[in-house]
Amino acid sequence: MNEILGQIYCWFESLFSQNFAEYLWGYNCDTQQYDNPNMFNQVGLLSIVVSLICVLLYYYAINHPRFSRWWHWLIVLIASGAINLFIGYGWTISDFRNGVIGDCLMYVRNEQGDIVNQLIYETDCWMFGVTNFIVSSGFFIIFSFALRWGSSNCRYSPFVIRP
Amino acid sequence: MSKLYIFGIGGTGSRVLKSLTMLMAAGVKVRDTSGQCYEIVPIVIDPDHAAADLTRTVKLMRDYKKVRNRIDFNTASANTFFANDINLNVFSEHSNITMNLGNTQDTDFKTYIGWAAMQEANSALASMLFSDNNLNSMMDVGFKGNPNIGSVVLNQFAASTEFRDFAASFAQNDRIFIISSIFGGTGASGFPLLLKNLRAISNNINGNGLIKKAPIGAVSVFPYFEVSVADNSQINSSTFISKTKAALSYYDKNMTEANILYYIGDNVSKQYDNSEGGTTQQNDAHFIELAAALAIVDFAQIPDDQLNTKVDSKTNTGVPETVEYKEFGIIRETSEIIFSDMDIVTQTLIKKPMTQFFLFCKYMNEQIASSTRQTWAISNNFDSAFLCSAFYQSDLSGIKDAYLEWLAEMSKNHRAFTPYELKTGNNLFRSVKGEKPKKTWFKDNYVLFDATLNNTRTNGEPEHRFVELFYKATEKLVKRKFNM
Repeated sequence: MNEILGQIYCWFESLFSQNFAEYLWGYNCDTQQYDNPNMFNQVGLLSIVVSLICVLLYYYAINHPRFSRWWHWLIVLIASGAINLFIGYGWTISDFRNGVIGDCLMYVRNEQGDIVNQLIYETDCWMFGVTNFIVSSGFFIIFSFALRWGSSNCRYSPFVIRP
Repeated sequence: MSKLYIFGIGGTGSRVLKSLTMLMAAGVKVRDTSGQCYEIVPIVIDPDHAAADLTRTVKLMRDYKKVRNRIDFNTASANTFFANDINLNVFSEHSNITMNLGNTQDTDFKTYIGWAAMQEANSALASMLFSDNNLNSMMDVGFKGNPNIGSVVLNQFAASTEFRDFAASFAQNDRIFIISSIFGGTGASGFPLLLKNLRAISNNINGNGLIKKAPIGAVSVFPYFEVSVADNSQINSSTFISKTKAALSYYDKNMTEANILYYIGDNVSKQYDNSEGGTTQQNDAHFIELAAALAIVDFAQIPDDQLNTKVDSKTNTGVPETVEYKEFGIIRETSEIIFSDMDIVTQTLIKKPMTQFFLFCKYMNEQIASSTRQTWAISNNFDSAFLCSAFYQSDLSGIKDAYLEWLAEMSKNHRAFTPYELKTGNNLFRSVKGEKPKKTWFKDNYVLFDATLNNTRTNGEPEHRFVELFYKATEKLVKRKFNM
């Protein structure tokens, strides 16, 4: 159960590096255990909350008769995804820049300790943001169809489902 | 359900019936003291069967009937649009609401009275009573402002099949109302004759006992328009006032058969094109006709004990215990009447229902095509098939068009009744003149209308749901925006 969010993110593991995924799983280079905080859960839970808030905003706070077509819903989905993209990026880039990511995950060193190869780049942070966009959009869609029935004006957005 | 038989005599009769139908469509109830709606039975007495005013009224009533037939009025229904039922099939021989006046079609008055077969003394007497123009008048376009002709022709309707049908259908607690003008031909002559025929109805006719004692109200409309001078026309509005005075003098001495007599008139009038009758006789709707229709609503609510009538054993005719006379007025002299110019009683009666129905019609006219993807439309399956159905396209839209046209005609008449801004494109809620709509943030105009429709639930058949949905939504809207 603790790993569900991580497993979902790892469906898109090809977008970022294996070592970056290890960092996100909470791998600790010192103990060689996964005893650091699980970043998938942290970012994932925040993304769920953001998606939920965006869904509630769209269906119940905005709830506007002239903002009830599928493209309006899509705008909110993209906005929600964009917020989550920057959450994913922002959360990891600070660790990346502050050297929080374990050295064993960041670099390949030779016997003298010189860096031979870098394994994690800033691009990985961006790609994790993109992954967060995709995953959070999935949550947005699920929340939309689960919660839209109580909306007076946007109940049939993005489309009508006939029984 | 008790019935209210409404005799509309002549062109004014048809036009007042039209105003009444508009009010009933808007939800103004013609009901008794217990709140029960009357079944309205319109009967038109007009030899001019082709008069545009008459054909417009008949079409409107048929559309009203078709719409009403699709709406439920059970106890769970909140809707009051189209609350009164209309019976358009009181006659056994045809489905018209017009009483046939035999032998008037394609006949001049001279032939009608059998001039050719008269003895010399009789024809001399007739020529004293009727001018050459009178004698040569064709009967099928009415009496062209000549009550002396009308009084001869209309005196026969008591023997007609339609009159017997009416009498046979008359039941306990039913009432009768008569609409006529006092300044023309058909109404001025038909009203006294009809009243006398009702009170002195033959004992050989079924239902005569009830009719003699029936509560009878009547409205007599004074001159409220003029017609242009035309050399070839027998109608001359300069005689309207003198005819009115002559008729009033007659009424003063002889008209004691009605329980309630309403008088309505105006000293401001508009000049129409001169038309002797037929398809060109189409006057714009006028506030006076609306006020006359309100007389019917008022009459329906008068308690029975104020309308007692006994039968005089000597004459075998009905005689009201009291005769009451009523008039209508507005509280402010103005050439353009809006609701706030009316007495509070009148406002209470018509402002809310008329405004609700106006909003309904405006929505159908201007917005509905753009709102088929709204929740209310999808939830109720009000899709393009519904909007293309005969109910919507023909019947309901027929009423809608007629209602907006009726308002437009009244707004450009003299004196004008112009409670709404009818131009399209304006803010919907600023259309009600004299009312300052409350501000609503983020949602206004048709957005607020759609949001209110989306928040409203109805049950039943689609046609019923549609009308009730708009009734409930417009009721919420007028409450929210105008506190009506």
